Amino acid sequence: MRKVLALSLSDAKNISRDTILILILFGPVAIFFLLRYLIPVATDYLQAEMAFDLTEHYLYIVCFMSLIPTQLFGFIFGLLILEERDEEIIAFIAVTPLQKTGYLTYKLLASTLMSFAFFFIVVYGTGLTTIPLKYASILALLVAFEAPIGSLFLAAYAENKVEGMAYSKILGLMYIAPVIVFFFDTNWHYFAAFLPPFWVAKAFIAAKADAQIFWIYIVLGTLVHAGIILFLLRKFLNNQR
Amino acid sequence: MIEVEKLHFTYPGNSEPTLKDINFTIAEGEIFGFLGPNGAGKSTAQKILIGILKKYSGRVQVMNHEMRDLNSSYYESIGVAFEFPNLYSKFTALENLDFFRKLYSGETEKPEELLAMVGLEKDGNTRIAEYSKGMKMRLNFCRSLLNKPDILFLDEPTSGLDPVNLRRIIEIITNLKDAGKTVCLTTHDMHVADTLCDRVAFLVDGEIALIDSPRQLKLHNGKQRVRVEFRENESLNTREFRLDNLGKDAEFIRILNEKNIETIHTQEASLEDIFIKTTGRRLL
Repeated sequence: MRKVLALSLSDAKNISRDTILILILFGPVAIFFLLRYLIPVATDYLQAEMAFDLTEHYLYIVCFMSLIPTQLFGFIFGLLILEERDEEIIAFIAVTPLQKTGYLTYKLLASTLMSFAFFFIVVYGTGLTTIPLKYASILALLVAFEAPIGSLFLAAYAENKVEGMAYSKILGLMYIAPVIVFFFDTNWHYFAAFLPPFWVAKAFIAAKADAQIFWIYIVLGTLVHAGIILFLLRKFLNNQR
Repeated sequence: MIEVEKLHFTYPGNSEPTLKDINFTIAEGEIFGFLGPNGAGKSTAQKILIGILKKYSGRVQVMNHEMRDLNSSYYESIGVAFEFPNLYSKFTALENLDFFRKLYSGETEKPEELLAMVGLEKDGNTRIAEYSKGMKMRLNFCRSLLNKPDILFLDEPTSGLDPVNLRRIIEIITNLKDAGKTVCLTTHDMHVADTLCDRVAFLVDGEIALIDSPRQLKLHNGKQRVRVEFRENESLNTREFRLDNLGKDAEFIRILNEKNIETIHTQEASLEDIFIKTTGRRLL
């Protein structure tokens, strides 16, 4: 516990002394305010002025927006890992009792847990849509698994923080998957099944409909997420040697 | 304390081994130095001893534990200082030490006392980004003592230090030895090796070319002679005498009695002389 507290405090200090990381941290807060206060206003406006019913798209909006904080948390921890690798802090931690395994476990769990918690704020704190509670925790976990993918993608492929910023944009491309799922409802959309957010979107729709196929999407989604996490983890560890 | 037998190591992807048939032991309370040019395998040997590289062949035991099977508790009892200081640049020195000490379960040193030991007590609240290279090296060194380790692994601990701080670090390492600690260091600095090490190993192309105490090596490889420099009629003269029966050498006694002596030196070899003679290469 003492080690986890030390690592958390060190991350908090690192973030608080980096303007970019502070700005990124405001992202999830901005998402909450957007969903909680601006979307209802926009709904009323669109209904009144254009007779467009935005509420029909609330599930899509909540699904998409629940993924953004996850991506941002993954991005923050990815940049922290890159910085700690550049300064060779990880090399030193590897020869302390925490070792590299403990360090990576903490970093990946921290981004996952933050994302997990924020899922409930986005889904239940904004009041736009409801997902049956029996599905919420497991869906939140699948969403949260996007965070370690983001962190490890940056850590495995970017040489430094500047490259990390560029790679985050490439990572952002996988969020095309929910668009495909929601707006191209044919079997062709399974071509995007290798993208982790694809399964999040499928699970969202199934959970909302209280359909039992939800569990199949969760299993397949977990396999895709786990496979990508393991691949990136191996790539990162090989780079370290 | 440390036993290494028939150690071979090849980096993945390399065809040539980096370490070839390395054998040595380090006793408890000993200061042992690896000397050699860049790429000779010094850091690789240290990385194996600190458990970073595990895919070696041979036997490597530290405190009776085979290194390829070690667990995290090993790191409670060793201290490591890498060649390049790896510190949080956005943190102050005290914040750095405070963070790293919390990674250990056992009793740790007080960060303020460690900073005072290396002369950084007034710079504890300065961020590392503002530290000079020498200050970072001193902080890097004192961090290796945080967990009161039994064995210290120091990679070029005196690199980039001014003469005052060089002497300070040498004194601290000597005190650690007196307190029973075992120290394994690598260095390019022959003066440091000569002053500090009980024994040194010359590593060349992954092999130990020589291993002994600096004193024995210097005596064994030097000339058993003494050189005397003296002034005579405004000119500087030099004479050499054999060391055996020096007190009965009439010419030596005459020069001592009659001439204006400026220097007298025995002609043992320096560690650098021995290195060049043994390997045919200069230290880089």
